[in-house]
Amino acid sequence: MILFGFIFFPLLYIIVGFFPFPLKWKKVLALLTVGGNLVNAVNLIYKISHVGMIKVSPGSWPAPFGITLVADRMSAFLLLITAIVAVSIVLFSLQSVDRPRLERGYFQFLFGIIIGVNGSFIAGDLFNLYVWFEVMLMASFILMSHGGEQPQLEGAIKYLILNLISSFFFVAGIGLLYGKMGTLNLADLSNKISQLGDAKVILNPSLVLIVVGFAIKGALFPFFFWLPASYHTPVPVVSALFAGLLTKVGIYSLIRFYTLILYHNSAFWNPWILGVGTVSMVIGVFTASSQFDFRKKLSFHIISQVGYVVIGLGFFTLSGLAGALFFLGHNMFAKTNTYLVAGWVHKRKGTLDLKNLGDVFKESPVWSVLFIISAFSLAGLPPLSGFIGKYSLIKSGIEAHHLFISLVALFVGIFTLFSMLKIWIEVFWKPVKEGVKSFTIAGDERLMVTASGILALMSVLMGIFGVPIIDYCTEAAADLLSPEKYIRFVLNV
Amino acid sequence: MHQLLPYLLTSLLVVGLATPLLEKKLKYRTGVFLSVIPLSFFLYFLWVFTSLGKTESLIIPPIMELVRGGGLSVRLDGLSVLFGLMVSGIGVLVLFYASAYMRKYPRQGYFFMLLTFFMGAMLGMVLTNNLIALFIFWELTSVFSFLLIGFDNHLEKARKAALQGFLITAFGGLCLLFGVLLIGDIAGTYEISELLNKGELITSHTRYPLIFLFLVLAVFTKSAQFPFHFWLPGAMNAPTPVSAYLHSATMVNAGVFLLLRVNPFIGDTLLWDSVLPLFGSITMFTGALLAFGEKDLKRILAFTTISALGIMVLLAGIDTTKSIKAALVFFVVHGLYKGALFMIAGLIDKTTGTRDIDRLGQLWKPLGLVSFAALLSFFSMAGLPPMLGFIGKELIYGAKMQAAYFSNIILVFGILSNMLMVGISFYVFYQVFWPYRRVKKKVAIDGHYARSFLLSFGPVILAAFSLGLGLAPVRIGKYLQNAIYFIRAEEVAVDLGLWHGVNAVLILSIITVGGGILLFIFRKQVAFNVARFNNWLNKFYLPDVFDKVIKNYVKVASRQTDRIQHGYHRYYLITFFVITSLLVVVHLFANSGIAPELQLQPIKSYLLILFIVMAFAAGYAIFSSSRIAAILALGIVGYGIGLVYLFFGAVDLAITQFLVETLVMVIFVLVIYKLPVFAVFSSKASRVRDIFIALLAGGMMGMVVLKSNFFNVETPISDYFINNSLNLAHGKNIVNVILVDFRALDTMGEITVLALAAAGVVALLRLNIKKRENE
Amino acid sequence: MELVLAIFIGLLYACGVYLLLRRSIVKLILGVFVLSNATNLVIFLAGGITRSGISILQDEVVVDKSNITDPLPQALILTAIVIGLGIAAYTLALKYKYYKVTGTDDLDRLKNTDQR
Repeated sequence: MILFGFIFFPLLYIIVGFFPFPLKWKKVLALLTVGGNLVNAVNLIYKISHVGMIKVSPGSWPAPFGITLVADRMSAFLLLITAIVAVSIVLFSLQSVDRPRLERGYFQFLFGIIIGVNGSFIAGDLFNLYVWFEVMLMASFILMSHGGEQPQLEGAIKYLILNLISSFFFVAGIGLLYGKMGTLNLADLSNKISQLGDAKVILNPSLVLIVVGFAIKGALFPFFFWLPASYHTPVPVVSALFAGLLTKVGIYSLIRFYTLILYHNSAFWNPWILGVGTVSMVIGVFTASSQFDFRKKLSFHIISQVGYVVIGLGFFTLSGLAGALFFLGHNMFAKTNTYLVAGWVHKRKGTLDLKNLGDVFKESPVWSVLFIISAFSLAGLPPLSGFIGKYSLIKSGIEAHHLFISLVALFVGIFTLFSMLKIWIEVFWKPVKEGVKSFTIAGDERLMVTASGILALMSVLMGIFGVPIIDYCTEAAADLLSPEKYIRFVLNV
Repeated sequence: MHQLLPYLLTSLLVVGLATPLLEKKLKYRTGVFLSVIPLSFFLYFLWVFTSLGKTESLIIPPIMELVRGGGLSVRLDGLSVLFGLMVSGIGVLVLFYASAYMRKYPRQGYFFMLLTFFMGAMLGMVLTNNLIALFIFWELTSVFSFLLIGFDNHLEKARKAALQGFLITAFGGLCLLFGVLLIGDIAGTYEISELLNKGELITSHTRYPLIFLFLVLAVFTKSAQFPFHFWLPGAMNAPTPVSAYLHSATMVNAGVFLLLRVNPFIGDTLLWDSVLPLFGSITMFTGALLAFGEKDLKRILAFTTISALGIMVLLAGIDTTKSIKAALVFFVVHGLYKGALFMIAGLIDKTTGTRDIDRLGQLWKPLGLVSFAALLSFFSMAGLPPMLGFIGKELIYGAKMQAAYFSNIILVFGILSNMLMVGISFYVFYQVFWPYRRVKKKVAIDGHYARSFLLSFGPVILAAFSLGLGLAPVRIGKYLQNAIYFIRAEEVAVDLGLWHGVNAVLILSIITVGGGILLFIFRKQVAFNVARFNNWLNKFYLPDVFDKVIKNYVKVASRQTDRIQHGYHRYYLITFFVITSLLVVVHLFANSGIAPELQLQPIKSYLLILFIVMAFAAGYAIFSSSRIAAILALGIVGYGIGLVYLFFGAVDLAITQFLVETLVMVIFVLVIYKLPVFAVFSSKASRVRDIFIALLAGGMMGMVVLKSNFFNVETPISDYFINNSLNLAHGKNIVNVILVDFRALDTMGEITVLALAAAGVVALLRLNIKKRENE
Repeated sequence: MELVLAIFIGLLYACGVYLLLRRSIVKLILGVFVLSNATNLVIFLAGGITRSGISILQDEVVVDKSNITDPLPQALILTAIVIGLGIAAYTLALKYKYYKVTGTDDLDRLKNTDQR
């Protein structure tokens, strides 16, 4: 029943959102909903750490026939992080999003994203995953263009079309796969494919389509174009939400799909995954260096950081997967927070052009600290979460004898640091240009600080409690590496 | 007592966090107050230092781990305690000094917070018994020095220097991490105490050169060795207390510390014994030479630091018992005089408002006791008796003669650099302090600073130590044995003394001093020529070169980014389709032999006709210039597909298809009148290209369908639905049953999408955000 | 028959992709519709075309269950069609809004958000 909660809470708000309640009620309700979601997620991870996996079948149709929702350690971990990010996003939205947007269903769409993300993390069925993708996409299309300013519309059109292509590939792949294997349940698919023997190569074309679908969603090289074209256009807090959650769902799906389906033919897939991951890492930091917009710089870095997770998957060892998972979680916190700070800076300065910004450190030490924690965490400096993530990945790379890729991963870090320092110096240290004035933010910004503070704190905590969290991730990775366990659990055999 | 040490270290963090609050209460006295912490550390170390047996080391298990195997365990042996003594001892004096120096600065709380953190990181680094922890503290010193160098962040110089220093040392830090990980991969542990006897294992491993390379990069960047030395002079943009601390006991000495630390299990190889002395001597000479051409007191000192670091790396590289002893002694020597001199430079800066040695002069009297401290420190720097520096230099000469490779070159370089050092010491002292030097215009003196107790306390104490330890060297010598034991695994009696009788070393010393005096006499010419050389060198002025490299990198990056992220939507699409198609096609051909031959179904003529009609309609839609016609033609395609569904028995699907197709067409027609007519934007060439790409994508999909289609490997699960839909779900229409029962969750998601879409359309059309006027 | 089907699907895809590659946003949207239809067709046919029975069971009449067209893809496509409808509606609204705000139909004008 816990798993239903992840659908139920956001859905509740979406439904209630259609009723003409006063805005104040809606705000409170939104907070209650994310709160409920968080409690549910905490409850789940508590249970999961005891039993390992949880499943539920709506309508109680047995596993391969009905849709099954499954949560294992990886899902629970990501659901918890999503829930925390969601809380902070809602808190931040309350004070940063303008009234007209809030009145026009802003929170509804936000919960549309959350329901999609939650759903994707617990989907045990390929087509169900597609449906959650679509829910998430629809909501993100709307949020992307919500407000209808010109750059938003431009970004939204690109985002929309390129992501629709992803959906087409994905769903065509599902159809073809079903045509051959006659099932949609991931566990069942994995099981049946393992019995195929050599004949499983005939599945490859359809698998390619599905993987391309995931790669587009995850903004991997060479399918990342939609991301830098659009992520800096919506309201800052929406960018933060997208940066934190959306690509991660694509990557999550890739991990899930790889460990259940693709690993049957890993001789073929592994080099691709590693290659794509490595190039993504490099191209992300490379393109980011050239940017002079706060959010755009961060956007390009998403590509690079997604690459890190993918090489962890490519190593395909226990520690590699654990590192990838940890990195995924760390990135959701740190990335979201850097965007939140960008949101505050935008509110304060009215621009995000690095050239016109400055003096923020003088004006607000609090926000500077919040930024520098997340930025240094992204750059992988100890003792923050990013260090633990990168350390685990590089270490596992060395252990897996991928020395070159580990080195690339290592030195991409210095370029990440360069970008982060550039932002720090330009936005926070540099005296502001003459004639560029800053606005005083009306009302108090305590909720915004709290929102950002939660995420920064998470970066610190994930660093300090790196060992227990990595241990948890290692258990999750062990589950991923022995898909029989998942199959047996889901199919009850 | 020892068990408390890790907690004491962590408590520094808390104290650091509390400093901004403290500062509100204590104002400028914060520094003095804070110095209690390093003082207690100092006393504690002193106690350990004197009580530790000759071959004894204390290891305190970690209180926590950041990563598995990377616990913050503490190791107390001669080396760590010696470094700890210097870090904490000079830390006390720096805090004293800073509380007076920073008095007029804004954000003092923040400053002291950083300084405390920095001190903690440095202490942690020298104390830890774990290489991962060592790396963590190493990076932390880089982070905090970045923030400290950039403390005056309104100055562009400071920002630039901070960025440069950080990028270079962080690069080194990453190298260190990689080296450490490689060591751990080979040895299976990161604990130094366990690694001590695994030297053979590591140095004989095939990856040893790689490990050596990365560790050396880490050392060279951190300890400002040629060619990475250029960030260090920039680092003097930090407030002077920080420079004094960075140069004398912390930060740059970390590299030397690392060399000594890993020496037992990485050292004593051909690479080690040749590479380190080579770069060490180059750095030693370059630093000393360049110092002569500078006019800014702090810059001169910065270059002499580079030279001193070169000496220490060189000594660590020679790797004999004697050289290690020399390195340890010289570390103390250098820390004492460099700390004092930097503090004095800061004091002079405050007193007179300038640091230009040509403008300064005749400060002997006005500065009183400080002048005397300066004299002693310069003596120590020049390596003259009776200072500790003299003993250091003697040891160094002795060690250099033992160098395994190019000992002659090293010795010549060594003598030259020492002559330069002597020359500089005399030169600077003469320029700044000599009471009888003629000056054009006397500098104004702010007596308040000149007589400040807090400012002069540090240099005087340090100079006193230089003198005292020089006169009674046995004190320090006795306690170095432990350090040397753990570095060289040898028990030696360390005897230090001012007088060893007439020997080769003494003769070298005399030659050096003579040469130095010569240099001093011809100081004008030397300084002029070095300055000219410097000017020529400035064409390759490394900080600027570094800047330029970064700028060019950004330029290249932006050019390439424009190429990658060009903004032409259709090229993005082309990339997507071409790559996907190629991937799929490759697969289709690679596996063509495996799929079984199929029994093809006969062609049904009515379907064929339908397809032909639809194909024509689709083609018409593409090339039609009328919007309505195109939409209607596509409508025909849509209805046609509905008919196909119908032919294959999918009634519900067909109905839905008709409905949705109609709906979409209606919406489209409604919207289309608000939209412009089709304009032909594209050129003929691009259209031809697009046709090819379209055919590629279409061909890919067609082949996929042909190859994969009509081939069921497994019985589909839908048989379950067909069999159970009536008796279990009580519905006759299987599709409907699937939708509302078997797969109800999908349907719920689908409804959510529709609901969101509806709300979204309304929001999109109704919501108009006016741009902020002042944007 | 299979060959004809494959060629037809290929053709539909080619049309869709060609439309997508146009600079006019209206054509782009038409391309999306074509592709979405083509994809549905792929799902439908992926399971084979040997069976063509209507997937409705009757109480009295005994239905040849083995000839019933696989009902699951139908259900999937139904879901996909409806989702497609939602997206289509939103896309059109977006296009309409975009034209109203900018007055252009040219996709190449959409470069602003990519440029520095």
